[in-house]
Amino acid sequence: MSTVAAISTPVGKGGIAVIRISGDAATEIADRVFLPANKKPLSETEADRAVYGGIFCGKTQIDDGIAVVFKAPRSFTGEDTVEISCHGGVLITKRVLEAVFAAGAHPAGAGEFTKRAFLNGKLSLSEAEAIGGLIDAKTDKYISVSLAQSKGSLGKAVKALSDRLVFLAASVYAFIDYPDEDMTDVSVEEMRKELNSILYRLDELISTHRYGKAISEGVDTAIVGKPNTGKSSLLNMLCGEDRAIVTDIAGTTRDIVTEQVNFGGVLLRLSDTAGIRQTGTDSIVEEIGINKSKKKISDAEVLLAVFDGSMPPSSEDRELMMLLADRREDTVAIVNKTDILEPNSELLAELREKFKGVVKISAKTGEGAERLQMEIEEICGKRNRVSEGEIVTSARQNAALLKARGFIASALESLSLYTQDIASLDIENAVAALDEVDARVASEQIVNEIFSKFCVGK
Amino acid sequence: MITYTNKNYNIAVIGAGHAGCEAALAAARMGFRTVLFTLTMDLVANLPCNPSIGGTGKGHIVFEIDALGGTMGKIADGAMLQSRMLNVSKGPAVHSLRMQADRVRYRELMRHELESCPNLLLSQAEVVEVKTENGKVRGVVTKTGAFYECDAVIVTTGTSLGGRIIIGECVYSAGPDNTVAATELTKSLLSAGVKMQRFKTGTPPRVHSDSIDYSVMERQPGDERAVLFSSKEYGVNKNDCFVTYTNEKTHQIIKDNLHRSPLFSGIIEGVGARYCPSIEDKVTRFADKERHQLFIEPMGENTKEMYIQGLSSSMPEEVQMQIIKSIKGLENAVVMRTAYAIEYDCCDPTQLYPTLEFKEIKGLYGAGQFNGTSGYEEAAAQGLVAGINAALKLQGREPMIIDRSEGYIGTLIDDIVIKGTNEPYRMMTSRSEYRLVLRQDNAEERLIEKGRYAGLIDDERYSRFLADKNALEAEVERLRRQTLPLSEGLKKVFTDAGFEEPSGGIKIAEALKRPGITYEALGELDKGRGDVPEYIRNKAEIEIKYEGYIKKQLAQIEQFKKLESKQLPADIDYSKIKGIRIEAAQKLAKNRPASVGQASRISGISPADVSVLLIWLQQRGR
Repeated sequence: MSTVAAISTPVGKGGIAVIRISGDAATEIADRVFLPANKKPLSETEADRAVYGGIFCGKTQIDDGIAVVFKAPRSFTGEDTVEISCHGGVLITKRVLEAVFAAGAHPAGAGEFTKRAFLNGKLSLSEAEAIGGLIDAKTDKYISVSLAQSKGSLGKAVKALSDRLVFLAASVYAFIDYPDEDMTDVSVEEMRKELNSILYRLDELISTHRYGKAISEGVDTAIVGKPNTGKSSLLNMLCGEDRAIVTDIAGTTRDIVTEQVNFGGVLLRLSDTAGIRQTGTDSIVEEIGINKSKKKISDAEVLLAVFDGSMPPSSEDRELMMLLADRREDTVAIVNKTDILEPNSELLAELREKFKGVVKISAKTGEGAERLQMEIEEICGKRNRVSEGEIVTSARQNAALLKARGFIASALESLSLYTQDIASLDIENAVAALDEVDARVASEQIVNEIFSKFCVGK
Repeated sequence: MITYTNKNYNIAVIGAGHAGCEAALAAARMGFRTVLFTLTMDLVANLPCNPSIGGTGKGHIVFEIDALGGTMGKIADGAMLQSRMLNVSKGPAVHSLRMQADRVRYRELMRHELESCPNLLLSQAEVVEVKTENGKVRGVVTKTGAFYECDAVIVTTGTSLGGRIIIGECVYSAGPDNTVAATELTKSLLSAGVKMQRFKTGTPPRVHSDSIDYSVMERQPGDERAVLFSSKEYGVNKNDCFVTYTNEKTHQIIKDNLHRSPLFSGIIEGVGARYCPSIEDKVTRFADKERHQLFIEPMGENTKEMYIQGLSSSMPEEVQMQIIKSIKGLENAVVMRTAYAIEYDCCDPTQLYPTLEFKEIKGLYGAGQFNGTSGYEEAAAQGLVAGINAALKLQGREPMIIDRSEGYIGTLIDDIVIKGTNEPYRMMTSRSEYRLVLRQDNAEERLIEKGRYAGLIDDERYSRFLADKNALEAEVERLRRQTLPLSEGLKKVFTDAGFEEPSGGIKIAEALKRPGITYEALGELDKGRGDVPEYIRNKAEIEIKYEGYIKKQLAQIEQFKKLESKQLPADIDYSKIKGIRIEAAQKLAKNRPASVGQASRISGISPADVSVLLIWLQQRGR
């Protein structure tokens, strides 16, 4: 493979920047740009040791810094690698990188270092994905989960299930293939019990995906409520000073259609925020029309329904409650304006009857924000998690788990409809599906999909 | 030294074991003058180990051989002493037929078959050299100085090639059953560029029937109806088998003498099979097991020699005798043949194409134990495939390849030529991912067209097959169409199987889909039932009962065929493919897989490598 290089630290103002060169010719190329103070070229320098020296473009010194040589396979990519730390700053970093290109390195593609690490067997796919997660992370939670995953903990949990399934299939076949070996047969009952226990564990993992998705990709969230209930102040509260708006999607704030807000560890994708901000008086029921509000409600994964706590429920409030009736699991009912009056008891009673999560806040003073965070996390399935690393964040992993689940359900069905040996075919398929989580059997789409998400330099 | 040249034969087959017999018969029947060499004329088609044909996975292979127009099933039927269907309590996919066979009769029948086959000469001679020139085979040389010039050579040397028998501290050069070993051929193959390895196998002792106390053993009779491999009729069981067990005393004797076992002392260099362990292996590896099951099996109708299945050993003779005498019912047993281990030379099968021709030596084929497999059935299957393909190639026709989804034979060959093997490879039902569609009962449907293509299925046999096929389709159609009216009888069938009483009439097929409701149970109620032979009724029942699952497998097979059909051109320079690991490129260059599917099964080729290949193919296609 060719030798590639890229800036591996964020481009910008940092004190130092790291330029990574990876491939067979890494040290050779580094020799052309980096001259150690002790005059001993990097190609002859011991691996894993930091060396100080000058950085050159041709004969001109452009910077000074530290270089470390990593020898294959003991490097991140599994190839010979040199990392040069130079001074940070856009211009100087760029000049060093250009010098490295001039010396013979090719520019690294997006995610290329991690892809090489995967291709060289240094990382399993789920570890590679987790590293992608670390890089992309917009929430602290996602960082800690990705960190745990990059150490392979989801992989281990899945492997444990896969091992149990392999053992089960093997015991069926040991009996079939060695009928003379006076072995005790696994009974249908034992198989059923084990499969159910595996299914339970699998469901546990699958149930973490809602939360996993909420902290990684985010959840589509809609703020609904009649006019003057304080939806825009709620929006401000969610995007408040200490909770920065994470993404601006092209254009001016005026044109914003979706804002991503890191609120209490989960990423809320708030749609139609421009509408809320502009009018301040919009009413989903009056202005957008009943059909549109129905669509808004059905499109959102999480619903924040805002009610004015200072007055008893109006017919519009009741209409909204009706619209949300079949989304009670996904809805946080927010009783606003606690700074004005004690919440209306009739309203509270009705809301508590209709929704699981009811929170009293004052969007103006910020009172109740923590409760709201907790309720939102709850709705996003935080309680389902078992341990940090065992949270299924990527949709791809979740799809593989669901596929495995389908095969195990089919195995259970085969046990009652057919015979054990047929159930064990399902079990083998379930094992293959679980292997996809860790991409031991990855299709080209999976690999491409994963690495296309990386940015250059990782 | 060559003293004369014989130009009378197109194809030479080296070794008249199960692989060699099938190879030679196929080649001769396909019109080529074929010479089949054997070291010992009296031991053609010998069963030097267990006196039985079939078993799990292996039974499937025998049915497949028969469907392709091979001979093993027919000979086994003729030599049958006892027939048993294994795994009947499991699904139909794993039902496996095993037959005890009279080994003398088996040899006789096969020899008769060979001798009466036109175009075929059975010749007693040791082949000492395979002549090759410019990567192409030229012929073989015998020890007595004859050079047989021919276009194809099939090596089926079994355990005779470089054979070495080991009994405790006693080691000598020999083939199976103390025949002479072929000692010179390996050298010639090595110099022709064939990569060789050394494997080991073994066989248990045989004892005199009159010295066995059968009264303390369990009797194991054959099935009430003795199913046959090749014939649709039923056979007649002649002999019983018996079951006894090892005990703590046996295990103690083995433990006390372990240091004398050549397996542990290091005399044995060859790699043995994990699934066919010697008794000393079993006792050490499964130390917590209190006893191991043994079967006492007849060697033939006219002999009192009995085979002790499960007691394979390479212990010194005197230790073997102590072991035998410690077993219930064998206290006074007299040993007629001592158990032995045997080491032999075989090739690394990854050097072969799925046609079993060597990639680097045109016209040279390998089959059977020479290819690193174990078992009579596995050998016969490969012999048949090698024989057919050698003949097809000389005819200038397309090869006959069975893929993994078409048969156990395909699975076997794919496994050994793609992945290779580092121990004698034995077929097992669990080796096939498509086993629900690869059943004994549908072997003909799966493979007869291939046998017909090769020219091994005559018109009469083929028209019989077509008639059966039509009868099956008609019966399935009838079961789907006809309704069983509601009756007390129907209610009872349902409740007996644990279902609620039906509220009205029901289609026969719908009733049959319920577990526990059988074709037989519906007999009285099914008035429209015609005179359909049992083997067709059984197939119809399976087809209906397992319809749902069979559909799933067919969908998987379609997926499999997609990757299989992504051809990798033979002239790819893998080192030039961007993004492929050096190690993978080397493996692919060495194996030269024909398709992405094959590439994905090579050990050490990672999913990422497969992705790179697919991407490369896509880009290339543009």
